[in-house]
Amino acid sequence: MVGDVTWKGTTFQIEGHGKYALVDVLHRNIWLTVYNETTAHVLKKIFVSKLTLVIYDLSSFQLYTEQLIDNSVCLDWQITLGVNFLDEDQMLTPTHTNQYNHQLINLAADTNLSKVRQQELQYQLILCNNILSRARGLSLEFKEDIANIFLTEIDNKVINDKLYELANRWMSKQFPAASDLLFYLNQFYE
Amino acid sequence: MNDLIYLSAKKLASCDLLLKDSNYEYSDWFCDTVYHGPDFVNSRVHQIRPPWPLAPTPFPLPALTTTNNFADVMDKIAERYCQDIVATDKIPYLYWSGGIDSTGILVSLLKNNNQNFLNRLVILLNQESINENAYFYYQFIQGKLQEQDCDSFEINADNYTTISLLDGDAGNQCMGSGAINQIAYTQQYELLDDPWSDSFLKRINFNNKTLLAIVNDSINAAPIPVNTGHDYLWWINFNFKFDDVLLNKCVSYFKNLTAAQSKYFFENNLFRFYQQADMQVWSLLTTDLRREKLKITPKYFPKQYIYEFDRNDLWFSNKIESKSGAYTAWTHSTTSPVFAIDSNWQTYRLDNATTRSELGKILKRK
Repeated sequence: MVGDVTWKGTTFQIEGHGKYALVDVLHRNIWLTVYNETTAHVLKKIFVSKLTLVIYDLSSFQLYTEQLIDNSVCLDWQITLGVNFLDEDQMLTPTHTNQYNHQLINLAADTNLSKVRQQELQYQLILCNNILSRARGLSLEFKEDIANIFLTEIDNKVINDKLYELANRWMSKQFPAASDLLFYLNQFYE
Repeated sequence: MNDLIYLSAKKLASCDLLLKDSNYEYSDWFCDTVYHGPDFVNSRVHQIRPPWPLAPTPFPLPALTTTNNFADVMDKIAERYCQDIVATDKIPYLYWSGGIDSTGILVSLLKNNNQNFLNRLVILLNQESINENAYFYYQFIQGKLQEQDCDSFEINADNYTTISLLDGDAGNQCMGSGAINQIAYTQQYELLDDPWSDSFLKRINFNNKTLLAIVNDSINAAPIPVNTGHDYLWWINFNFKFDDVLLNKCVSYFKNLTAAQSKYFFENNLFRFYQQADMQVWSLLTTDLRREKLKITPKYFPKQYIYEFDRNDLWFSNKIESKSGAYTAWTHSTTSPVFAIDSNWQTYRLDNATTRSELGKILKRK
């Protein structure tokens, strides 16, 4: 872990590092790293309306160490131009390895989003990952409701409000998952 | 087999691999070229002479006039279409893939805010459409407009005179091209900015002599100068691919219709938003502007138009152009044995031995 992040009144821990990177197809930057390959693909699917992502196994890069690229700095890393992620075969590859000897470089992507907005989007990914991976006993239906909020909404406050509303709705039938969600939102006692 | 307005060279080449053999007389018409593949169907400014009997294009270039900004052009086309529809009893259907082109159309219809029209409008979509633009779906479609699963939608003898089908095909041809987007993605902007030349053609690996000559002839007949690498790639898409993109899905759209019914529907009830003369003129007169804005994001103009309506900055920044492959209509068109259409909307099928025999003679493969 690299510490806590406070976002719109919500405090949660950033997962420090993981070798599976969610890489932006258009801008090539790394949005998030996670430990679990399946988790990476689930997040890719949930965020499909907001980001076009490919999953990369960073351990296939010689340069990569877990200490070098964690989630507090990953937005400042990208994979070099040699990779044409727009190519259909590349986009459909389940998990990429560095078979073409591309480079990891320490350079922030040039995008149309401000740094603040990039961080907000990254927080959405982190929050979604934390909720789905750590809430105890999530039913499939509850998971789908949570995922749908992240799929659909673009504003962090709206996401926060809808998650709070959802958790309250599920408190009676999905305990302790719903209470875990309220704690993640720092709104259990509100 | 005469007066063909459409023939899928790609489909034929996938059946008969020798069509691409360099020793075959007509192989240039079937070989992949880097950026526009073998579905090189027709020129809209001059008559080309492929081995098959090709009719003049159904989509000649409109006369050059003046143009407005992109938003005004979209708004005006929507206004005209809505007025035309409400003056009839027709039910309008819009294919919405969730992508840039069809979302742009829907924005224009919503902005026009003709309640008579919107109450009748049916959005054809599926789960993939929703995933492609979920925010837009939940904000502006769900619960507000009528929806139908696009995979269950069919045009048939019962409805072909009473509906109007609207789609976003030819949007790519007006906005740019996949080839341009690929070059912009790799940030080789000098390829797009500099005048096109032999070295440009070499860098994009375009060395098919037959097609190169045809492109050169078309540039000489073009109503505007084709100067830069960007202009060259856009022109190929705009001049030569227009027919292909507007006709290939008709194979699927009209699968339940007779030739006469197909012709009627094509001429009266199929509305292609980006085929409209004012949109084409906008495209013809904004090549430099589009080349500049491409550096902000591919398809800048329609994305900006959508953003001004829905304020979804994430979609504006991160949405990439992708095939609307979700549609059954598209899948059916690519897998159907229909490979050609003539000017009377008679279709020609590869599962018909007599047709294959005739084709063999035309292509000198028999």
